[in-house]
Amino acid sequence: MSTENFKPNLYVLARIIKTLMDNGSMKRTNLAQASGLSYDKLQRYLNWMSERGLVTIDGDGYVRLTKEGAKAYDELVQWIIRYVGSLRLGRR
Amino acid sequence: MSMDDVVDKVLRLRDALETVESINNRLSELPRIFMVILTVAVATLGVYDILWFMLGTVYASLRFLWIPVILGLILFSLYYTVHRLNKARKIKGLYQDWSDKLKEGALGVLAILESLDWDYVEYRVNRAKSLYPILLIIYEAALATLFYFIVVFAYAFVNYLLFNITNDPWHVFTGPWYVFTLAILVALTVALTLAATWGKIVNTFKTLWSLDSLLWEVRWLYHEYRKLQT
Repeated sequence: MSTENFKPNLYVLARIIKTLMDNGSMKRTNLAQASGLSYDKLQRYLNWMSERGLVTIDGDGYVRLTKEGAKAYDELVQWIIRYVGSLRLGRR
Repeated sequence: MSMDDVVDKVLRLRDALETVESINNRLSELPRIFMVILTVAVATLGVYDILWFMLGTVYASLRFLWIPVILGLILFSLYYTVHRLNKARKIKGLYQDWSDKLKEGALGVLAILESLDWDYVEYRVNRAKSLYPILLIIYEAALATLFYFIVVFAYAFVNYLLFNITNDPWHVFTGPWYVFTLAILVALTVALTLAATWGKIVNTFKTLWSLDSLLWEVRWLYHEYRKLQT
């Protein structure tokens, strides 16, 4: 199924990657449960992520985070630190 | 720059947005306050007119009732305005879950950014920025007038107790020194009002000043976030 028109929610994407980083490779049902997503929604995200090489899914249905996936998460965190951290707002 | 600094920045953003919401809440309250005051005034004066029409010929002293009625209406309007504006200052709900979300660190920040309605935020910041001076003037004027009534009554009462020369508590407002007395009372009222609200006024001007930069910061962050999403 093509994911061309699918626009992922960055929070959900990061949550899936973080769950995989914390727990290692996981079955899809376990991953859905651990990241608090419905199975269908997780499947849509996994399709999108595997098309971009962020995760791989083996024949037994195990989802594994790739180096690209881990790098994407690091980039997200760096973006947050760089942009949100540089907001010029008065002290509380 | 660490994640703790980022969390601190997001909490500052929350505080700024809560101030914006507080200003907007009070602005939205103004038409309601006006409607209530208008309704109460019309109803009270209507009842007074009916009473006067029905009983005015029997009880001639009813004609003096208009003074306490008008005075009561003015005091009610002032108290109600100040009370409702103070009540509307409190923010309920909108950004209260941010502290919990931020316990998740980077994930929490992303959750917050995803949940923000950027167009709504921009609209609310713009509205607060442009209409805040009106709110400030109405609030300060209402509070100052309320204080003025209190000061005048207190002064008349103390004067009556201490120097009951003419057996008339209001003689200081009608005697030769009345201009001097009124000037002192106005000065006292202004001093009291400023003492009560000076901190708020200063914060308000700081807020007004920062709203402009907040708007630019929000626009910039949103632009960068859209780029990241694509």
